[in-house]
Amino acid sequence: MTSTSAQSRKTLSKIACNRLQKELAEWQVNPPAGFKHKVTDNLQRWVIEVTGASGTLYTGELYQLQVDFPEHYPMEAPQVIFLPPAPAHPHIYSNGHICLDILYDSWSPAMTVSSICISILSMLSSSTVKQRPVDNDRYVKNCRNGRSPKETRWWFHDDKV
Amino acid sequence: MEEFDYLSSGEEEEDCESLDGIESDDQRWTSTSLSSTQVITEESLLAAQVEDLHRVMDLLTVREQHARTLLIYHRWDIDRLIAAFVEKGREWLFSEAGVTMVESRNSASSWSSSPIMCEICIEEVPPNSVTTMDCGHCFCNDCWTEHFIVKINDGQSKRVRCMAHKCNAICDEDIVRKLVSEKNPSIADRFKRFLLESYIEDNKKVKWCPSVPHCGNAIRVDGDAYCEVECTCGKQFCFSCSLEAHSPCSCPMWDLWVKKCQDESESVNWMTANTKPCPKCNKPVEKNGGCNLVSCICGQPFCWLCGGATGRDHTWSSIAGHSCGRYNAADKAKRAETDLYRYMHYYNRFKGHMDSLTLETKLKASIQEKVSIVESKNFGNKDYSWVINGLYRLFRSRRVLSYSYPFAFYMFGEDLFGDDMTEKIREMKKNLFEDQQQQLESHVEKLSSLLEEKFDEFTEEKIRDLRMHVINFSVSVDGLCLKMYECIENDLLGPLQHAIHNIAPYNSKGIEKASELPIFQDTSANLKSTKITGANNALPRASTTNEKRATDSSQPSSSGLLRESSSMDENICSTRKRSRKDGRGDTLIDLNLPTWVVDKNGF
Ligand SMILES: [Zn+2]
Ligand SMILES: [Zn+2]
Ligand SMILES: [Zn+2]
Ligand SMILES: [Zn+2]
Ligand SMILES: [Zn+2]
Ligand SMILES: [Zn+2]
Ligand SMILES: [Zn+2]
Repeated sequence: MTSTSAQSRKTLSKIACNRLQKELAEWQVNPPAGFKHKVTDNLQRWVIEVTGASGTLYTGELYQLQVDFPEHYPMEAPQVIFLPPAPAHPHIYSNGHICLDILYDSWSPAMTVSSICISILSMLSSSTVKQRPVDNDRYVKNCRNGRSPKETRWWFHDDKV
Repeated sequence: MEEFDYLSSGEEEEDCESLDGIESDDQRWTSTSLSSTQVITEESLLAAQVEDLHRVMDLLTVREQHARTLLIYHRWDIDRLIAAFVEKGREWLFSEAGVTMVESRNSASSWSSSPIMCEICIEEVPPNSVTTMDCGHCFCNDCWTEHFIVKINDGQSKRVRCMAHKCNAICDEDIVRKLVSEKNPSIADRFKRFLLESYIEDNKKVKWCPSVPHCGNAIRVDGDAYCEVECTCGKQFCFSCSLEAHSPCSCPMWDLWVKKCQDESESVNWMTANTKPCPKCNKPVEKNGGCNLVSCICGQPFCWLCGGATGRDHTWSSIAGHSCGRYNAADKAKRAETDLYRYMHYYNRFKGHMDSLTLETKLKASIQEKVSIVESKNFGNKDYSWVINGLYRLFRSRRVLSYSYPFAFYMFGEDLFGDDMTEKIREMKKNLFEDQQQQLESHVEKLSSLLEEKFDEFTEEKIRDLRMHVINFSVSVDGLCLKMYECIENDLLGPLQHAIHNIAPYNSKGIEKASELPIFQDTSANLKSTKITGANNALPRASTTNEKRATDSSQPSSSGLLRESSSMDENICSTRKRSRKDGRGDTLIDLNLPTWVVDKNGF
């Protein structure tokens, strides 16, 4: 996947490590509904399975999110993308990049992987049409050289959809 | 002409009066006559913003950091901030900028001894190692510190937000500094620096001095942003675009011109430097006109384009009996060549005056030498400030003349104003302008040749004569510069539809030297209070000279005249917009004076 190459290889800070261990422990006790963490021994990259909520366009469909944590998580936002194939959605590009403000400008250290997951699921559930963003082709072409979505200057699509 | 009347009357009366007039003319060059531009040094950076901070603190009764947050949000534009306050109210103003003040509601928690859960690291921490921000959000000090460092390293010092989700509050700078310096003092310093420098970076009234290597100063301009300033390091620049001072060119014209000069330098070099061997005698022949039929000194005419020998009969587009095909170039190519010649015409004059200026600058030393020779001769009149004044007038008008060529290149060309006037009007305006330009040019050359006279060998009589001539031409050149500016502003740029071409107004005194801001006692205490740099070395001497001058001018006999002539100065010497505050001017210390001028005035 192109976008992972841009992810910093730096190891997690002490704060990041502690926090991720706590989040993981909490997740195991109390995972957000519709999500399943695929167990690996890599604390810095989580792969999470999403199941489309019933009663939505994505009912029963399975997708995978890849979450990469930077050295200074949670002060820095994690990088979150859909592994291919990404769901067809007006805010999700075919390369898996997600246009969602909390992943970039509006990230706050008080948010968690769980809260991101819940936001993404609600974004999927509120969609009324299965289609790519209008600028999909141009954007994906621009990202070809392994650019991370965090390097994009996002102007966020109208979140009503 | 007016200016000659003024002078001839001076000539008839005896020296005393006109001398005073000249002395004040001298002061025009040697003292900074205003306070509309200031240098902000590393040491005065804090002082520069204290006034604004205090105004906001008083107006809204807030602490300094909140005033700073508000000012940073409003890009240090106090008027805009006050307008927002009046229009939308205090509450709106504060929340928009991220200033949040919650009554100390949770003081209870900080008194309790039970551990507190930090929502960021999800750890329980003792109550003495958490910090509550003004917005009421409380996290552990380790998390705050890491958050601050990440933000500072990311270049976001000016708006470090609270960590809570959707909280827009800007963190208290004292807390940021305190926590960060415990872990990493150098990052804390950087944070402090960023906040201070916001006053420069985010403020349209302040710009960094563009000197390379950078002198560390910034310049603040209180009036019109279309002006030219000189930093205490000696760098002169256009405040509006930060490039070299280029008036009467507008910033967009100058920008285009600089690029054009880069682009064309190759073809100009080719055209000017390239010679071709004569097909008959093989001597190199240079092309010196627009026509492509050139002749060698041996008499052989040939075609410049292909180098082949030809007959002499030719028109613009063909040489009789010759058909290399290059001479009959397509219209497009010819057009490009005409454009190049047009450019070269303006470029050569622009460059020519620049080169003269460089040569004349070197004249300074030799003139100074001649002055000391005549001074030792014990002639009746020992005042030779007219020489130096004349020289400064020459420098000033050379610059104006030089930059008037790129101005004319764009003003009367197709690039910028092709659609703004008809061909006929363009031609008419061009003639009007060129008349003035040529008149100025001839007076400038005359002034230049007068100043090159070997007056150190002159008799007293001849020196008096030269003096009147130099003064005459100094005044007329000044007047002609002003007239040219008026023509540019009123007749040429004024009527344009898209008025984006603003120019720095003519300033007879030359480029304004920015004055240094005083450093406040309270803020300078913990900083190094004096920084001696090359430019500042003249300080003690200049100040003595200035004091001396101030006492001199306070003598009743001359002070009236001084005031009168300096107010007249204001009238004749600057165009348009500029009506400067005077009064404080004469007491300011000029740090930029070349030492030889200081020496001169110390006599
Ligand atoms: Zn807050
Ligand atoms: Zn914490
Ligand atoms: Zn400077
Ligand atoms: Zn400019
Ligand atoms: Zn020859
Ligand atoms: Zn000819
Ligand atoms: Zn030919």
